[in-house]
Amino acid sequence: MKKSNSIKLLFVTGILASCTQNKPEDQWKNEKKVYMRSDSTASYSRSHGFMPGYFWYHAFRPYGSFHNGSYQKAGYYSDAISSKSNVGRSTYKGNVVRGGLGRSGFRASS
Amino acid sequence: MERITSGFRKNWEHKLENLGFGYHSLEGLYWDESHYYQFSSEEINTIENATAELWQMCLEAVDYVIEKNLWYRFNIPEWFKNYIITSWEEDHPSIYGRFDFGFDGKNLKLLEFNADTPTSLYEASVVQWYWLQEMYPYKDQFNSIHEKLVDYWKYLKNYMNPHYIYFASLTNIEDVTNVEYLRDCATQAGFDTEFMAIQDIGWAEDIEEFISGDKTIMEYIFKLYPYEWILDDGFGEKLVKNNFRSQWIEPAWKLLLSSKAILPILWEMYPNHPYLLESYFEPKHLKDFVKKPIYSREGANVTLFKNNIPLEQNSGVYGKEGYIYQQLFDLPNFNGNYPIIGSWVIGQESAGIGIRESVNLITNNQSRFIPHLID
Repeated sequence: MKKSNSIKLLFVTGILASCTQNKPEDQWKNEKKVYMRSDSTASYSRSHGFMPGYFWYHAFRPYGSFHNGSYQKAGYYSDAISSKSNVGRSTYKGNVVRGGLGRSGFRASS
Repeated sequence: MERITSGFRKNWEHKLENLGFGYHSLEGLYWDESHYYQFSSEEINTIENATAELWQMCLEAVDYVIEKNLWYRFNIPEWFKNYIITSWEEDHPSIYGRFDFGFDGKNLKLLEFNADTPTSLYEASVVQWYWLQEMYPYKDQFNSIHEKLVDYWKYLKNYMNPHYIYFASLTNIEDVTNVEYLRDCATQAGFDTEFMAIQDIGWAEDIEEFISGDKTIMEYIFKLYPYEWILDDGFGEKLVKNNFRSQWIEPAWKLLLSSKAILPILWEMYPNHPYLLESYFEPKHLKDFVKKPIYSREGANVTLFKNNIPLEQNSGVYGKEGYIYQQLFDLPNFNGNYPIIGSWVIGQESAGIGIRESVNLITNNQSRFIPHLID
């Protein structure tokens, strides 16, 4: 036999809810905020299967954009990750520039 | 190798979407289960052995490029050379790669190696496996990609500290699905993981560190974003300044193997090797050949010549770094459909195949993924 005996998937099956459709902005505004911790010391994380699709959709869809060649990071859709909830890892307090990567193409597939 | 008619499953779109496979029909039909390819055990053994041997040849080729100082062939800036050499000498780990083969059941030839940012991983590893389980559960398939991925992440865990990996890509559904699948496997292997958009990777100039969305220093970054684009974006200098405090996966040495420039170099190292097509940096004596940019994606800017006359051409934005010229391989013709075998290396092992089929001789982003089985 050359095939895998079984395939177990933790969260990848939940990603469709996150990135196939754009939700209208007005729907976002009325949604209840769900705060989650994002770091490894938090009590729950998406790696352990907490509402995978829902989590992804809210926390990891960036809505930054490029203007005149520079990237304006506006955060992620919803405030699902509160910066106050990030504890336990070495957090850098200085100036960070974002948007340097990602300008050369829409899709990296090959 | 046969192409066999098979029916679409009832609610096939729904079944695929339940697996999280959302790009089955994005630009026309992509996942196509109206047919499948059937291979004999001998044919699969041929593909498996060729994959293993070509992987070893590619590793030799990286050494050869460094030793012979062939950087100019790859259009790699002088200041990035040492970064690549260090990633190679320190054996920075590679997770995966996909060889594209022309195969007619007997002759097998390497068309190119997608060594840096190969995709179609999820459909090869998971989607076609579930198709087989439902349609032909007693048949075999050349596909242990999933278990080899989980096993290889487990193996790497012994050498990595901390056990926290950021997975980054552009945010289109195809790239995100492939990266999320890899992240799923790494999580199963025991890593803590986090996805972030590649645009959100931050740079702190004063400490020369890559910074995550929550302002944490990023020790390990898996990226589905090609090195040539990292260089174009002006991020290559930052990688050099950072001096590997952040370790990027795939490693920088894969840039050499993902470039088409490796094809003439392999031919120079292994002339007349049965798995290689004659390839050069100029057309030389070739009459039936394919002209490929040193760097390109999804068949862009590839031109196919027969008797020195251009027969088929794909448009695109690539080619400024130069071209290579590769002898034309006659892909098998199944009623106007031309299959290419994508053969996966996971860790250091040959792990399985996925087949993309096109009505054109140059496979592009309009090709369809066709499942397979072993008779």
